Amino acid sequence: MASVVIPLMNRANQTIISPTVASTDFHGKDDNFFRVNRTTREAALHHAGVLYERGARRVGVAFDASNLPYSDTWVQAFRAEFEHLGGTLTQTASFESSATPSFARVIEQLLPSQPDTLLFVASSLDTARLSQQARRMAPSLLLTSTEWAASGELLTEMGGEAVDGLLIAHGYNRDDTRPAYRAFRDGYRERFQREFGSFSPLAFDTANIVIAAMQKRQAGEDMKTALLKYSPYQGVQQEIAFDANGDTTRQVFFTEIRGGKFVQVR
Amino acid sequence: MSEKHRREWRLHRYLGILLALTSVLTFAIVGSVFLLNRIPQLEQEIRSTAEGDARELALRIELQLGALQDQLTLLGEAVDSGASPQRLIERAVGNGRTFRALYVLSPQGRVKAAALSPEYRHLQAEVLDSDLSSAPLFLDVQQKQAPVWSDKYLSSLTGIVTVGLGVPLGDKKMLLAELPLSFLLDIGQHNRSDHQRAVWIIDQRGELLADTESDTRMGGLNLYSSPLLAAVLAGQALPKQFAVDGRSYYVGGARSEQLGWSFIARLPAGLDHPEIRMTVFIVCGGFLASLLIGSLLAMYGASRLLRPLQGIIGRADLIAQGKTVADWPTGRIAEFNRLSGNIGRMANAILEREHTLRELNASLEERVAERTTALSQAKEAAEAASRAKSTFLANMSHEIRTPLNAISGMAHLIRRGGLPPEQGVRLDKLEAAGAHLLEVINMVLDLSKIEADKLVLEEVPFRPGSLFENVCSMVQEKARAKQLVLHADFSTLPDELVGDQTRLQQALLNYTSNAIKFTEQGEIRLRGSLIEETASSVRLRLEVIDTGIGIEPEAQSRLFKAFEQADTSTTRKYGGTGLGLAITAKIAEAMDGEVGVISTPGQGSTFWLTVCLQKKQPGIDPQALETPDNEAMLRQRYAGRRVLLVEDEPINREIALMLLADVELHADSAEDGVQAVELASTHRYDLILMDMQMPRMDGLEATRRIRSLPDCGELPIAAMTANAFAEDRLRCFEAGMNEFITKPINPEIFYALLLGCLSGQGTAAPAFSDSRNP
Repeated sequence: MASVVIPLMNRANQTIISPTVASTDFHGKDDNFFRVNRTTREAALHHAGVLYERGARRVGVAFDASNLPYSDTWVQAFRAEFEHLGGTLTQTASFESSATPSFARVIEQLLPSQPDTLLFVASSLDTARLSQQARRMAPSLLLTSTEWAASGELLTEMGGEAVDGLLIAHGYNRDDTRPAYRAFRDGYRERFQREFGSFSPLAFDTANIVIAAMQKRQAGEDMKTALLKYSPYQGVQQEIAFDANGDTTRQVFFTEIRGGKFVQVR
Repeated sequence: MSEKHRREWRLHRYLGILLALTSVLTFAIVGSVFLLNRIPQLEQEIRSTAEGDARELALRIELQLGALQDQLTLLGEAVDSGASPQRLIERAVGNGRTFRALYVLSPQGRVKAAALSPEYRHLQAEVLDSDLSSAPLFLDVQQKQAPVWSDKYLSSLTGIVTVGLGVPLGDKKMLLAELPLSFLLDIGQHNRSDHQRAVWIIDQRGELLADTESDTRMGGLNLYSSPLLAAVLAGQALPKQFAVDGRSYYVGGARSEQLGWSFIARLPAGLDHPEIRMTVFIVCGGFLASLLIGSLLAMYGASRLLRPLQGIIGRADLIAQGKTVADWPTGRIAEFNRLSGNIGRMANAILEREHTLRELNASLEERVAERTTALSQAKEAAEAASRAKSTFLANMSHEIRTPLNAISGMAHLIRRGGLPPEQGVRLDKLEAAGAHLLEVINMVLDLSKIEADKLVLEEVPFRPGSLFENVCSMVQEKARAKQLVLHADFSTLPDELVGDQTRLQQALLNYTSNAIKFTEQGEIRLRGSLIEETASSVRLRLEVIDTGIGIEPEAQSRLFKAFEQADTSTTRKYGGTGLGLAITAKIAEAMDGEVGVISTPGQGSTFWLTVCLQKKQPGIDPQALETPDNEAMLRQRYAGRRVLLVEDEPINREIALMLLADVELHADSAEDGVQAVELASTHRYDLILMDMQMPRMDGLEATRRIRSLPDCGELPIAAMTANAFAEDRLRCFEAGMNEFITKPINPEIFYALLLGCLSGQGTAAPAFSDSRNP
């Protein structure tokens, strides 16, 4: 979607800001595009380092080809970094989440390469379903997933015991006790009657950035100038500072599901 | 006041607009009232319908899902009874239209048996042993041990958004059914008669389970915090309209207690709703139709009205062209028939009047011609009368002057011949009588001339003080005779002015003569004063104040009219023509002035006149008019010169010859023009004195002939005539004469004339023998 929309908005000289776009395709460019999320490359490098630290050496990767700009970049960056660290990406297997794939078959493609860790670049639902199959076929393997799947309770509700031990990256600190985070979490639950999703804090931060820039904007000042001029902005948990190209970075936290609970490990 | 411009209209257009406006206004009012009442009513009906639809759908879904629940409960009982669960649930799923998937879960939440619809059947094996122990529905059923309907959720087994029904089995096992949301849509759209109506099926979290209008809205709408859902859940009245995605809807809601779901039926609001749109369309259509029908009716009516009217207009045009119209149109409209008849009668009356007028015009032209002729004749008669009057006056003047000349001349000669004192006194009386007679005739001629607007004022320099000196000198004798004291005060007058001294003197003399005439004792005071002065002119006031008999106030206003005196007894007692004051008034008027009198009977009168005179310009010498001793100078300088006297009247001839002899001039005489021409042609003369009226050849003709003689072109010829009119003088000059003197001859003036002519310098005296210019 972003690869289609952003060039159009640039041609129309319209400012666009996204909470979720992480593709490196739009990074480091002085265009009209602002991102609140960090890039897939940053995420992948970070994830590779954490996995390597936790002892993973042979990683099989299952990724959702329905979102290839994200998944492919992520996998490539991860492969480069992990192999650079000394690990091996033993096998990759793709699936199309828009169809009704057999996840047993996806796992079956990864297992012959004898990985010690299975990495899922997939949504919460698909991570849960992949985990169900992985636990059924290779219960001892270390499972891990990206921020894409970091929608909290949904993962555990759907994965049950299958996701126990899953290492997952979060774009927010689940253990944060500060009022801003608590207010956001409680407000979301009150409004939607469920826990917020993996990208909800990013969307909330993005909306607040836009509102703050509009409020501070002077007469005759365009939105791009305002977004850059009044940076940094205070998010729910962290400060968002745009560089001259409208890019930012974001702190990521790693949690492990233990007995249906998320335990922050890094 | 100019008429205000008003726009003209054609009748059919006027009526069309009027009727169309009337129908539009009427329909607009009726339509507005209808819409204002009907639309809220319709809205209420639509909302009621929506609520009924929502209730009906809720009930139907409750029934259908209740039936499913019963079916699943029976299936569970079958499983519990030991039958093969796999076979049972596969049969129940069948083609997947009702159940997408059925699972038998262990008490630990593991999938022990699974049956999926054909499209997901390839996943049937791998979902076995999947762990659903954390799924809310599993936990809920385990807790309640009763059938539970879930909210919408993503199935972790099939990856599809679904609605789940959990039914507890024996031994804490559980039968889990996944229903496709399309199943709910099928129920919602079953027997759907109103295609405008759509229904949202909303779960307990406010999330959209199904939308009968669109199956792609899933997840895009959450109404949990919406006042609409809150009203449905609370069983309260719903808002009249609800806006979503930029469109407004009439909504009606119902809640299923059994399922925990809400059903909100919605119908497009306002003009988006077909019934409201149709209602408004009907009203607007009626509006337009009434406009059209009103306009057509008006055009039709106007054309019907216009038909007789155009007939009337056409005939009126014929009338305007002067043609006769016999038949005037009639129709079905009574007013038009009356109008047509009235115009017809009016047109006939106009034609008749025009005919009469034409005849009157013809006779008028004849009368004008007659009147013109009469006027012309009257004018000719008046002119003839005027000519007769002039002739009479000329003849009278001539006939009086001629004997008067003889009388005064003879008196003069007699006095020169020496007389005893008593004879001298008698001769004085004789001369006075002659002078009076001359004055009378001069005044008559004066007035005649002035009233004919023939008074021409001279513009010559003169000394204003000389007016008073001359008048005083002239009346001194009379005043002394009545022992009256004569005063003259003119010290404030300018030294020199330009104007007609003779006429001014005549006016002042009239006043003074009257004053002496009507004053028996006391004094006569003449006063001149400057009352106004500009750069080029002055205004003088001349007054004559006497201590005479005075004048009654009622008589004062008549005094300055011709032939008027204070009363007839005055004429009888004091004499006079009654012309003097009238002439004075005319002179003052001619000099841009006025006359008046202030008088008290028995105490005296003050007669005054004002005149406007020009200031003297440099270079004019009034002293040029000073009179020298002409008689002595003639004798001294021109004794022996030859003069031809042409005079038919013997006495006058004798007098003239004696006057000439007195100054030692040698004179020949001729009795008529013929003789004069003969003498002039045979003798050389230094001067010819020429009478005008003579037998055989008058003086004019004789002069013309003499002028044609050799060496007579420059010969001085002076008219000496009783024809005293200015016209006579002009005729004399035109005939070639050089000078003009009237009879009776005043010897002083006569000698001045002779001196002027003989010296070759023109006249040295006034052209008339008396002091006034008639």
